[in-house]
Amino acid sequence: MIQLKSLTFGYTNNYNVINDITLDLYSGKIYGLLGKNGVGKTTLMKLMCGLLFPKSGSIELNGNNPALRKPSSLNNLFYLPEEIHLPAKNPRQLIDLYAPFYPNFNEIQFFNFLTELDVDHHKNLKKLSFGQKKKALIAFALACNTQYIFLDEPTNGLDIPSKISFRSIISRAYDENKVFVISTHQVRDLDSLIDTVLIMNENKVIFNETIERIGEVLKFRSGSVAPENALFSHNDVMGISYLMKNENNIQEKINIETLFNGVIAKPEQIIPLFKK
Amino acid sequence: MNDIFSFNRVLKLIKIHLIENWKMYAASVGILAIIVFLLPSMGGNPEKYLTYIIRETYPVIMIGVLCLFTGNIFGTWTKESKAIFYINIPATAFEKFLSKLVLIILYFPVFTFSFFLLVYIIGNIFMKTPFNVSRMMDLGFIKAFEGTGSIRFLYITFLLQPLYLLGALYFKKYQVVFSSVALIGIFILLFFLPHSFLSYHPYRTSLNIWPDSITASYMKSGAQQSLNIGFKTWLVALNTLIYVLASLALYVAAFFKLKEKEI
Repeated sequence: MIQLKSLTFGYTNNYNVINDITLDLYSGKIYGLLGKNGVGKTTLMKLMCGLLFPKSGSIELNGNNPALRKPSSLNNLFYLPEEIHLPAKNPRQLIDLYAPFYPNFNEIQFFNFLTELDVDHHKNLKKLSFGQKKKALIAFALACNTQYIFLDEPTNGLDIPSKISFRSIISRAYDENKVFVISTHQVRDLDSLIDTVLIMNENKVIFNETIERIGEVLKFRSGSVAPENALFSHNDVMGISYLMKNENNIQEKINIETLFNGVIAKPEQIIPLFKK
Repeated sequence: MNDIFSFNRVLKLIKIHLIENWKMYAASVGILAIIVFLLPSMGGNPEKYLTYIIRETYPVIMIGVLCLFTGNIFGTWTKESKAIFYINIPATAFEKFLSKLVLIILYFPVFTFSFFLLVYIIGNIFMKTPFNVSRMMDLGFIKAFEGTGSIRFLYITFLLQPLYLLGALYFKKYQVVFSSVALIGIFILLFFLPHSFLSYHPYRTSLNIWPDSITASYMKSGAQQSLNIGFKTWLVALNTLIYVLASLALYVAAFFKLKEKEI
């Protein structure tokens, strides 16, 4: 479990990128951390991984402070940044060097993930394209089988088939002891993958709800015209997509993009619906 | 899991570094070979050039290479993507720091051996008479380490190295500029200024202050003379202690700078 208590952080003294966030993230869940560019998603992830230290407040991963960077904490988390580094080695050499640090590393799983993501098993990783490198590191991250996996914009640079494979391998790597936090501003990429949506805006997490709960409270439709009682509407490839209050409480399929745009544009109308 | 210290993890980190950076080590020996080869091939008396290489160039190259090497070896902490990858390796900050220091210390004898091996090989290419080890000693490579010379050399190296390390960490964006300025500075302070004083000073004298003595060099009848004024034992001990403590403090400062590094 990850616990954030009154977490505040700023790169300078007079501006806080993260402002007083209190949040609990539970095992067995895949969290989608959504937000516009520059809203603090990467900063929040870096704080949870101990790469940045809070200005005030606290972070605990199973009761441990990640900022202490203890080996027993580090071998239980993996952070995949947006800009990645890989040594000039092939996948076999990569695991020979780095896998011994991760006690739950699964070699078979690693090579299966590489195959599924269409990454050459024998090529020097440094010579691969950005997307290929990213896929290799995603495969490594998941094969480490750490309890906490933080993926920062993992689908950036991935082609469409790879995005589909990405969703597939995440589902297979998932188990009830793990916490996945996946940040993105390309909200469609997380469709049918995440089970809890976290939306950041104005330096805070303003929305934290499960997919089931969202489907109970809101209903998502598209058409040529939005009805008057729509809480929010926007133009997309389907015409006009809108969201409304779900009066009958029957589980609805959600549209993450419409939800995200709605929560950002009209938080005062949408967020209170979840507090009832 | 041991969160304090694991020798096994240090060995794994050293293995990672050596396997990932062997090309850098090979390149440093290659550059060294070019320098050692170029000087005696410029014409004139190759024996004179080789003497110059051994006596004068070796300490400068050694200090320069160690400093550059220090900056490079700790460079993994300065580039964001590399730093994230490296900091997230499950080992303590001390183990990561120690593994790098061990490599620097190991590099010292490897580099020295490579240097003299190259001088030996290239000496035999340029000189008509066989250039064996005893002739190399006659040329004075042992003199570079004779008496208190080696201790002075170590003082300079182990004081400059952590200074350079700290500099590389604080001026990470300008590391190339900083490296160049530092190397030029070392050259000016240790070699250019003393030689300039000998050539252009009204009394044609230069002073070098060491922890154990002051050496005054001056020109007399066209030849360089030296006057060495040794300090009292207690003063030598005190100076040495100050040097050692200053070096240690700089290493500790560098360690904490790295340990608390935020990415």
